[in-house]
Amino acid sequence: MEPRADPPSPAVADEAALLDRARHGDLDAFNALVDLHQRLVFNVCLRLLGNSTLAEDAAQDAFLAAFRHIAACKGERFRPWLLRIAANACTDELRRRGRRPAISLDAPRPLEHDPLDAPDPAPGPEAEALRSEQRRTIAAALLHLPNDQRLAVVLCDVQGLAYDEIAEATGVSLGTVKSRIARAREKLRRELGVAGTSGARSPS
Amino acid sequence: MKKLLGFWRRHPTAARLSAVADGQATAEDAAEVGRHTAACERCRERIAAHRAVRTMLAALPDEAPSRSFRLSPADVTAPARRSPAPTTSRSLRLMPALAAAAAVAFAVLVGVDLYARGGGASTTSAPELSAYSAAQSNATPSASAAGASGALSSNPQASPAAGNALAPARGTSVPPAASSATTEHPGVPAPRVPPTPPPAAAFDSNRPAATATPTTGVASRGGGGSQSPATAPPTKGSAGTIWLRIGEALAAAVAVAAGAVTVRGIARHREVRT
Repeated sequence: MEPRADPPSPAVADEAALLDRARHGDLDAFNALVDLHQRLVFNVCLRLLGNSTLAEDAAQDAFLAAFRHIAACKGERFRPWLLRIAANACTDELRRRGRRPAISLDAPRPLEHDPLDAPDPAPGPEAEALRSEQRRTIAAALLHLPNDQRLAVVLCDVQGLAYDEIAEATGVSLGTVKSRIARAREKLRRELGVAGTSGARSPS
Repeated sequence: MKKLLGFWRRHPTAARLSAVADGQATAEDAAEVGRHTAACERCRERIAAHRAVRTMLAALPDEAPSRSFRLSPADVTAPARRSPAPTTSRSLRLMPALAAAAAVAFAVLVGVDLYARGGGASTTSAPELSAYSAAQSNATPSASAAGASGALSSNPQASPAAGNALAPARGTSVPPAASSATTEHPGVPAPRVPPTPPPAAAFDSNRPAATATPTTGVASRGGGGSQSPATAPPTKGSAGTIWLRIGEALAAAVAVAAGAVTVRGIARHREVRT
């Protein structure tokens, strides 16, 4: 699965040069880094918080903090370091709202349709509505996970980051990353009623 | 049982299975798990389930933010609305301990005071009172030393220290009136136990409550403490009494000040985390 988080054009060396200039207080260089990573940061915050307004606040806080503390990012990659700040911003936001992320008033219903069914070749409005309902349910199920499991599985499965980068971004060992991802998937599997090999719904 | 143990020994953990499902396992680990799943349908199904959940999550679309997060020079110079890099303020840790220590010292001194008034007003003699003032100066440092170590659980040491300092002066074993800070009172002959109404009436009304109040009642005790030098009638042997008053006033003032700083620090910490 191709990570969707890779910046489209600039080479790694270019980003290192931008980072160096940003460390010397060059705001334009930092803003170039913002351009490269803001979509990723925003979407991670969105899946962690469940609300796009809160996600925008958290993302803005994260970039502000990143610029303020840019000197602390040396000898490590910029992206996981930035993601760690973004995760902290989201944790702060959750604390401000009493620990639980915003969950919609309707309890998520079990999926009407097995998500592994082949997509409708001629998607009509009904199919689109169904898919959008499914996505809401999946996004809501994410919000039921404990914070650290949600972060790990969002970085891994939604954004396609590799385990080692997730370990850097979360500040824990590789083994802890693996176990958090595994546990998150088990919980999601139970909540969403996902079957294994066959198309039939599993009773659990 | 053997079968159960065999189960736990043979099947890979969920973490290993999910790593294989994600293509993130090492080559030899993947090979080992592969050999197992060739013969184990249960683990094959678990790997497939991991992949299914991953596929569902990957189908969640990215959204475009409604604005850019580029920083302007104004953003950078303005004070942070809230910063995701928290630090703990040092004063948040010291102030509560200091407030607690001062409150304990105050309670000790008030207890000593009441005790002296309760039983000693008529029998007070100069030598005993000078022993008293010695006891005070012993009680205050020991109380504040105990408090400064930061542990409220050292209260029991503070009060018996004051009590022991008193005992030689009195020549009888009496309950440390200072044990107001702790909840246990040793069973003792009744007349010495505070509050004794007649001497208490000589104080302002805050005082008798102070001995029983837990340390949260700092503010009212502070008020009581600072008033006492004015309202308390001078007794015989007033030298010792004056030291007592000074000690009480000091302890009360420190407790109130440290308490106020703590409360303000906590309020600020909650509102802006810097």
